[in-house]
Amino acid sequence: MMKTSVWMRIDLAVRRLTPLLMTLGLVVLSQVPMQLPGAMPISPAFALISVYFWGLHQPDLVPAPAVFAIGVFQDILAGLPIGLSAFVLLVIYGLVVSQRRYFFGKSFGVLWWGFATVVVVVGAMQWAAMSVLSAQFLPVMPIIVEQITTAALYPVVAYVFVLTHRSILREA
Amino acid sequence: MRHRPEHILRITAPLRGFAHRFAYVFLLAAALGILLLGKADPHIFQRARTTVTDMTAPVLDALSRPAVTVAHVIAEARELARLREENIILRAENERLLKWQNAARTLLAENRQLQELLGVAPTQDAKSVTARVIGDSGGAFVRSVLVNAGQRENVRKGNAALSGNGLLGRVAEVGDRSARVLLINDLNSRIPVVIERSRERAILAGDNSVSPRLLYLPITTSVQVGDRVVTSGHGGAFPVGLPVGVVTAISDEGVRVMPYADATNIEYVRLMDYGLDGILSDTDEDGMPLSETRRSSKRGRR
Repeated sequence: MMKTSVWMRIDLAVRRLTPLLMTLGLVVLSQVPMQLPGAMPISPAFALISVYFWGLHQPDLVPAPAVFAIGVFQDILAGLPIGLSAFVLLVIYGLVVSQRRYFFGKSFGVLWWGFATVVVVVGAMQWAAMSVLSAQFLPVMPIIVEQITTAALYPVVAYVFVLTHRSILREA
Repeated sequence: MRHRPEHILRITAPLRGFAHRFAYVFLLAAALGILLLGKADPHIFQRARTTVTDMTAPVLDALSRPAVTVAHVIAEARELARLREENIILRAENERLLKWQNAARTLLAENRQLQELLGVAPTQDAKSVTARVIGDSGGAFVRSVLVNAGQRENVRKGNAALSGNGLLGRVAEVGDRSARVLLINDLNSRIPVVIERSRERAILAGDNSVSPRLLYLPITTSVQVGDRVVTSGHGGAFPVGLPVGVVTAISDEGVRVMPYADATNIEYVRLMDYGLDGILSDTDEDGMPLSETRRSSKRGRR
């Protein structure tokens, strides 16, 4: 076996960090004010897409501590109670990683369908958690709109992740 | 380290699996713990919050510029399409406003004279900072925006945030170069207001919808659709008379107010420091103590 040089190792490390860094970048991106006149303020849950995708395809690139970090980062930036997204994302991550076998080799449609299910679960969890934390029933419409947008954006973000994944695999 | 890898694997694989599972459960518990801790004491993570938002602020600042440009182009295209009719409307409005300006000038002069006669203590002038909106959480559960001004620009917690036409919210967190403005339609926003016409007091409570509700109105209220709602100055968080919104709906589920400030489309906010600390001071760890001059100025405003 060829001895790996320091540079190759650094290169590999950077590549392996790419999914995490991309996810953090997407979380920042979701906070950029879009200001479409008259449009409802929506920020799609990119972090959820990332956790689902990497949890299914290669969990070691986005391990549980990274999921935790992504969640906390999102909570802070979005002004949510710290720990909420972290908790929800970790639950989904655990769920997805444990069901990897089922999804293995399935078509993209099935994966998307799986994601849609996840989105419903997450929406319900967040709504319930926030309602409990604020001690009142919150309007459901915003979360429904947000989750539908997230589900609709899955193919786009997943495609970018697929390209990233390929480039990492090629080198690793 | 490479002898008999399969042998080592046989021992370490279950161990690693266990370690992974343990780490997972630990992180899950940690997330839940942080959530409850933050609920019990919202100030516990203040430092962490402002540090992270401060670090992200320059990135968001840069990113929000092209986004704003795109929004401008779209808005401009729309405006171009209805330029003529808008012109007619604006001309009519201008005429109406000129009359009001006249009235305001007369009233201002009269007010000044009367205040002099009565010896009303002069009100402190407000200091203001204009900041750009760089982050819009837009999440389903929070109505707040990040702005690119912080302690460096003398922004303080509790400052009133105004858009061009009304109260937008108040500063809830201040970092070094960024601050978070809690909008008036956020779930956690409670603002003492008064119905301008009837002088009835109420609390304007956000519920994350576009139009917040009026709570604690007197049972015999005479509130009508179209009434103006302004801040009452109670609690000392805001000065008296900042325009908030207009009553749009009165039904069994409550009285709804449409804010003058359009929270879905804000680019710049004015952060006003009226020198009021009010009810926020006791919760603010680094807030300055309420000085005597401020107290008297507050009394004087009424």
